[in-house]
Amino acid sequence: MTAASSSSSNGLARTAIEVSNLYGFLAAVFREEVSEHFLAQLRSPELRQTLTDAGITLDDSLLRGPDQEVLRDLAVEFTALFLGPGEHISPHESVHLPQGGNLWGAETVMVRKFVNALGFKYAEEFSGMPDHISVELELMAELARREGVAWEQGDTDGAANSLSYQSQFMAEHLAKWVPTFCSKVMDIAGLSFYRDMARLTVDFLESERTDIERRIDIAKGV
Amino acid sequence: MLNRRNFLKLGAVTATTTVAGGACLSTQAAKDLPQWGNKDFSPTTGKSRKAIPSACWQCVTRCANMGYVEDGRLVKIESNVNSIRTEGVMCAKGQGAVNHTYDPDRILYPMQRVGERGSDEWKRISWDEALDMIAARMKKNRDAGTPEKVVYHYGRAKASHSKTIGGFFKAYGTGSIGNHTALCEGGKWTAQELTWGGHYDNWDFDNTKFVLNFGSNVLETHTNHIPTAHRLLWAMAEKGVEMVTFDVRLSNTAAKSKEWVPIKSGTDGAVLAAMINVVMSEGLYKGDGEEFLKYTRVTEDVNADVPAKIAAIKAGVKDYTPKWAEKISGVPASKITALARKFATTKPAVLVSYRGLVAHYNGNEGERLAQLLCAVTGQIDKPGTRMKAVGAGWKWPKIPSAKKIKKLDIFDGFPGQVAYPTHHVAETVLPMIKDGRNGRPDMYIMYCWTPAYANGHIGEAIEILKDEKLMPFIVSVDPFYGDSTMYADLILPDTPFTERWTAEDMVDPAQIGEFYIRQPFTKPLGEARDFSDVVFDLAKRLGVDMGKAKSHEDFVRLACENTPGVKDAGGFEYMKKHGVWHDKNATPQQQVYNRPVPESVYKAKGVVLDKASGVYWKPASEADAKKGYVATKGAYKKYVAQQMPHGVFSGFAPDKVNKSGYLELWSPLLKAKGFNPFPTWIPIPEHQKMGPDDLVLTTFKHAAQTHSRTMNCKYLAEVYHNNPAWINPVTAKARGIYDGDRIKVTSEVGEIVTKARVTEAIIPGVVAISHHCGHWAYGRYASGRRAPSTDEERGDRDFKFKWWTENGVHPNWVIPNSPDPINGQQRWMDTVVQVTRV
Repeated sequence: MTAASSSSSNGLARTAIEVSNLYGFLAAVFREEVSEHFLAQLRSPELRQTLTDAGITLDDSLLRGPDQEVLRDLAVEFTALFLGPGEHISPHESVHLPQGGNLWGAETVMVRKFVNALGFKYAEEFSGMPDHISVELELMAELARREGVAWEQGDTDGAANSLSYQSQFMAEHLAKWVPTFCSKVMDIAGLSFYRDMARLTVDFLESERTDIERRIDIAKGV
Repeated sequence: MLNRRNFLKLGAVTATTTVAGGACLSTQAAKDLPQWGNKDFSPTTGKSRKAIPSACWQCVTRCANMGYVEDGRLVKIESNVNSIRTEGVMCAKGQGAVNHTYDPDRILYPMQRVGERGSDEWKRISWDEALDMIAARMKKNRDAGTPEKVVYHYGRAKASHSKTIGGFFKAYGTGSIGNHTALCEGGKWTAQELTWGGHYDNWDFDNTKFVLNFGSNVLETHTNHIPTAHRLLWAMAEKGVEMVTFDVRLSNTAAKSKEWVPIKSGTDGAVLAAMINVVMSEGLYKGDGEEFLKYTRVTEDVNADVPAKIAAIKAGVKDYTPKWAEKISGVPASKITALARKFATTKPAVLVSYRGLVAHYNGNEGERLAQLLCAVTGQIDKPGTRMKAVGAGWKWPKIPSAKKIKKLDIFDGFPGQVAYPTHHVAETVLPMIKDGRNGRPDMYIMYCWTPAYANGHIGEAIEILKDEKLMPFIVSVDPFYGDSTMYADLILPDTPFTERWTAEDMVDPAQIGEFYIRQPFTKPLGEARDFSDVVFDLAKRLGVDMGKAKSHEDFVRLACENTPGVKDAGGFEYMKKHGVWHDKNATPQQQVYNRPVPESVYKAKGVVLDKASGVYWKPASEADAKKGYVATKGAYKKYVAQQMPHGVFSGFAPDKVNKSGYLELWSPLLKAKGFNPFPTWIPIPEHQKMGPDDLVLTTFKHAAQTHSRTMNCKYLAEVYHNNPAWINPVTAKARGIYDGDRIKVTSEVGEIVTKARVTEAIIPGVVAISHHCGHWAYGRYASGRRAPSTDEERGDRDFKFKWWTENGVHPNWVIPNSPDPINGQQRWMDTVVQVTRV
């Protein structure tokens, strides 16, 4: 492969931005209960069609039910799945690793160090723990966004730099626990929405694992 | 799984969705991301350490690396993550190199011997005194018309080190320059030069689907170790690529393979010959093999067509049946057949071979058979197979050679001993000095060279080094007090590589070529000086012209400023900052041999066709043209193109010998020296005469050590410092030997006493002893013996933690210096020994 030409740079920039958006979308799914605004987005013909193309058909009840009823059902599901009380699937990395099992474990600290080493901070209003799945997905969204900007500017070294962080964070964190987490969600979730989102997350990360390395090779001219 | 294209469509329409919730992270304040990789921090203060990109020199692989310096002290070495060769991977040896700088047995000042040779009595002298002494000898010999009596013998000098130091001696007028290649891999190189011209092959693990390995311990030690080994591991782990390894010993490479095929020592060639037999008799050459045979020479007739070539190969290997090979090698015929089929039909597959195949009496033929198997299956010089290697092509500053260069004929073996010593015969240099018929040095300068330890027949080597009549004056250029340095008359304290400059160029498995430099992590300790700087001082004393450069750093700077690409990237300043550079627009090099050559080139003025070889070349004179291409000395330098029945092609251009532009497997060069021109199975003579008590001694290397230069590194010595002899339970029982017993290993040149490691990880009939161990000097960690004039603690708090007391035994005491008769490779794997319980 050769270094990226300007036309392939445009394509790579577009890819990186789309990847960034999708990370952002998934971060929103797991961050909190579906909001009214988010539900409206989900019901928009454009997003529905794209989800259908991606093999995800949203339930009729979610699409057509009364807003407040649907939002309530989704909120109850979100709480039962990710918040508790009682048995739930904690959306934090350190809980899901074989050697872990505790909230705020060693991995939590590693994620926080990673975020801080990049010069990023946790938002003041964020009250979760540093290794929440939405933090990790947002971090990847931001790295992919910066990758996209670098490609747009023809800065292959910058793109390679951002991709190297994506590759490292994927290997050291996301790939280690998110598939396990999502498979638990797929097993337990009552509403198809969270099952579908979990499947989408796993498949997307799996696809990105390979594609990040492909984009690094292009950026490095290997 | 969902389709990736659909994910991305989702990404396109979800841009507005992401604003839906509050974000967990605040990222705007960070304008730029920090540079990824190669950062290190002090564990005590948290302060960032200074990171200096440079290059390793623990082994010849010479990986790009990164040194971390804290308060002026080198504290850690890791890989340079931006290297396309290593891709950020590094071995234990490279990391252990941090111990070189602060080795308590390091020599920090010039030393002159005051007692008997080897008595460890020295006095410190100044650099001026030392250099005056050397310059006086050089002047004396130049005035007497005997500059060749100044012998420069190096163990490792590569790239700009080779150019500056070797350049100095050639500018002075001596061509008496020795190396160590025959002790390492010279046989492999010559065999490749005889077949496809270039001396080095790259194994394309990135693209292969199957690896067939004959005697390479590639995952532990290889001359391009990490760049190839990590790619192989990835291929095996990530893509499920299978490797099958033939070896007498269950090396770690064999253990990680899909299958270890135990094989009798020195019989790999028979198995290869039988595999070719299977390919030919089952028609597995059809397709890719047939196509490649167009570019292969297997008959005397250079115009033979493919059917004629197929007939010749079939005739050549008809007796090499799998059943025949089973009797010789112990490998079941069914296994040979199955693996031949698998190799021929899995596309692409790579054939790997190294010292297990080539460090034998029949090594040259083994490698030629390997090339033939690759040729008939078409598994050669294309992605996923064995390919001609690519390195960085620096544009070096010129150091003008003397008008007349004279040399002692002591580097290529005894008269008639070796047919094509294209990389010399290091193991016979000292015996030839003892013999004296081709002259002796007046001054023998050893640079990174330990002839007493690295050659076979150590007892003889030490006697020669101690004899002032044979060796009147020995200079050792070494950072450490070692097994050979102790016999010198003068020691120049060299810098370890952590304090040096070099422009480097080792082979790149990505087939692109990586330019990289070595720069000092720290200033030299004491009065140590890099010898490649010292030669500039010697040149001034002798009035020798070293060209534009004023020092080695200056030479590296000029190379960076002269070399296209590196220069455009920012030259020396860029290289000092990044350490590595490659052309991002370059495509991997492959398949140059089938490039048609235009008529304007091969019909240019002065170019003639040599009908016997089909080579278009540019003879220097009418007389040369008449003599012909093959018979004219150095004709390979005048090669232009190869005529083949289907056109004129660039072919496999020669590099060191007058071969044709075919992949030459019918060699007129070998025929001229009395060898079979077609690749042939040759039994090892000594092995045919073995008695019931005899065993074959074989040698190997460990992942944490290089052959002779790393045992002084305490981290590495702690990992590996003892080398009991591997022996099979059946072989051991027949001799009353049990695990841990003391045993005596005796050969025609000596005996050693070591311990037995009784294990089924080695075949019966063989005893295996590793290199690296058994130093008698080389400092407290390597040998338990301090260098003279050093105290117990000198700057090394760790010494009190040294827990091991044994340092192993060196097998070279019992291995004779014995070259492959074709290429001069030292036969490390052939020695017949007797083993008894002590």
